Amino acid sequence: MFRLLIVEDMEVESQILKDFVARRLPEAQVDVALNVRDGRELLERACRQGKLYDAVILDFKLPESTGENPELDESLCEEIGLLMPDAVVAHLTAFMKDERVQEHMKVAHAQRVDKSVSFSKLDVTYPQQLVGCLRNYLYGARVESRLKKLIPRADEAAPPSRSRRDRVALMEGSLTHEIASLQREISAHWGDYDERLKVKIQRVFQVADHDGRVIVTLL
Amino acid sequence: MALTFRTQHLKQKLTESLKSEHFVIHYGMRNPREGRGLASDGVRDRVLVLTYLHALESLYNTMTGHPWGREPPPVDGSKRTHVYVFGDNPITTFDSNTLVPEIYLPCRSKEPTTQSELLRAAAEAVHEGAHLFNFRKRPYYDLSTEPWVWFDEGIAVLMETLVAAGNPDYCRFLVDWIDNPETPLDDEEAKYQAGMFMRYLVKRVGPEIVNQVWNDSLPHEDPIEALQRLMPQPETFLSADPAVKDIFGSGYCIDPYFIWDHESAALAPDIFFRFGERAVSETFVLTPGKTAQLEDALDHLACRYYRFYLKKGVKGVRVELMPEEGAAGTKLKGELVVVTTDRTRLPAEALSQSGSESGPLSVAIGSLNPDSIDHLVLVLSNCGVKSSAKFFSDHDDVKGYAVSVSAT
Repeated sequence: MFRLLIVEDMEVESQILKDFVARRLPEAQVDVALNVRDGRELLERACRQGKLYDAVILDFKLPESTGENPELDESLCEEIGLLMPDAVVAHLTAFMKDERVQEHMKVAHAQRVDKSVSFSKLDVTYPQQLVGCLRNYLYGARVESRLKKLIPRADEAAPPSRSRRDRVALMEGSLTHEIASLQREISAHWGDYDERLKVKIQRVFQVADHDGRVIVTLL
Repeated sequence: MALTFRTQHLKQKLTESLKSEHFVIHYGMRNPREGRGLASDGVRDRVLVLTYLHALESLYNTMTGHPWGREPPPVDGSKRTHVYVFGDNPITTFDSNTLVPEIYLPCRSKEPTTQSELLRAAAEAVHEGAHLFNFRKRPYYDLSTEPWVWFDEGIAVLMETLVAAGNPDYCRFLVDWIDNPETPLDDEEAKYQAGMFMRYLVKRVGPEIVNQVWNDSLPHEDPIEALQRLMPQPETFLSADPAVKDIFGSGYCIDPYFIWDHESAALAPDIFFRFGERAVSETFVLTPGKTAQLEDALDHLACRYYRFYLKKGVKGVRVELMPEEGAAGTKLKGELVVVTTDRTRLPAEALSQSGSESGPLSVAIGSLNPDSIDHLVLVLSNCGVKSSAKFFSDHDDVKGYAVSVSAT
């Protein structure tokens, strides 16, 4: 299950996003905040409970609390960077060319460029693009982490030499369901992975089409 | 493309084979009489292979015979299931071309003695063999298999206890079952512990229920839904209703506390002697006029035990349970059991709502004689579920509650 936070002051907008996420990312549990204060509270609660967000969709222009005027706010994003450095941050804005927005994307996300994206609210297809990007990131990150846990040397591109043992795993006991579950996950989300990840997966698994469905087997 | 991990490559190195009626085991020698040795992918001698073969055939006979009556696993043109012996880990998987299931079993072991090595080998062969039979109904490449993983593992561990009777190897799965009763039955990290649940089901209801749930569940059902539907009358599998003695809360959660009791469906003296009794969350000593209070939380399909010793003069005990989300409609269930000095138990008293809807669940037991009572145990269970087939649904997890116990 993924945990997502949407911070967006326009209720209609946040509902549209929530609906998109429910349809295209059914494993996600979504929290919604309408202002900076509520967003901060949800972040802190998530930390207290040890249930960190995997992704945060963050409007750039937000009111501090309900009833106040929305203003450009980078503080929540900075807090996310500190509290949940592994979370992907998707910024929403109708002011892509605003200097402060551009400066924030350049400076704050310089070190986390693979975990931050921005979308223009003026683009009518942005919810589809945004959720597509989240699928790509979340499913990709999850399968990579499972792959690494099961097969620590899956990153290695070199063929096994005589002195190296080419084992499936370094874990104890039966791996039946660890492998089967990973195979099913890859089958279900093969289309969401980028080419780099597909190559990495294919070092360990054979991915083939069997009567119209993707079947994953051990090489 | 460079291939770092290649089971097909390893399989090709296994040039020896041993056949039985239903299996063909492919293996190689660590030190063959001639040619290149397989080092850590070869077996020391044929004893391990013969042990595997015997265990697999025993499992085959059990699962195709009464009461299991399973259909044989799918096979290829060889009419036998292929078993490959290499590496360190047992795996049941399937062939990339035919999608026919096959088994990989380890060629080596870190067990310190030959006896424990072979006991483990027999247990692992039986375990993977059970997966092989289960594969027919739920192939591992089928996405709908995911919610059934814990049930599949439970059956595999159950088969270890039935087919390899007297083989204590399955006990390696039990330490967490003893230590963490608060772990959900269907927890991903505790799937082998489901073997204890299967064992309980078989004792309480019979082996047919395990088979029925696996074979006769509907396509949209997860194991809990199938257990609810298929439980024979008058039994109910899961209910937080204090008036209902359900198999889970009032049975599987309570009985294992009495693992040493011959009256208990969870009797397991061997496990008790090895690991002791299940973990108790907190113990209190009650004196007349004293009130003990605690706050805690519980995940779905799990339980906690709270123990109360009575000092002289205690005549009655009242227990109140207040779920954080209110008592109305709560999935938390509380039952209080008196354990006598001769270690027998009196019938469990369920906590129920007696007053207003916003009031706590409670039970009061009077006319107590501390001289004849060893202790009281409050068994709290969470009869809520994780909707495992629908990952995005809320789970009945971390349900907070407060308990107050007063002695008079």
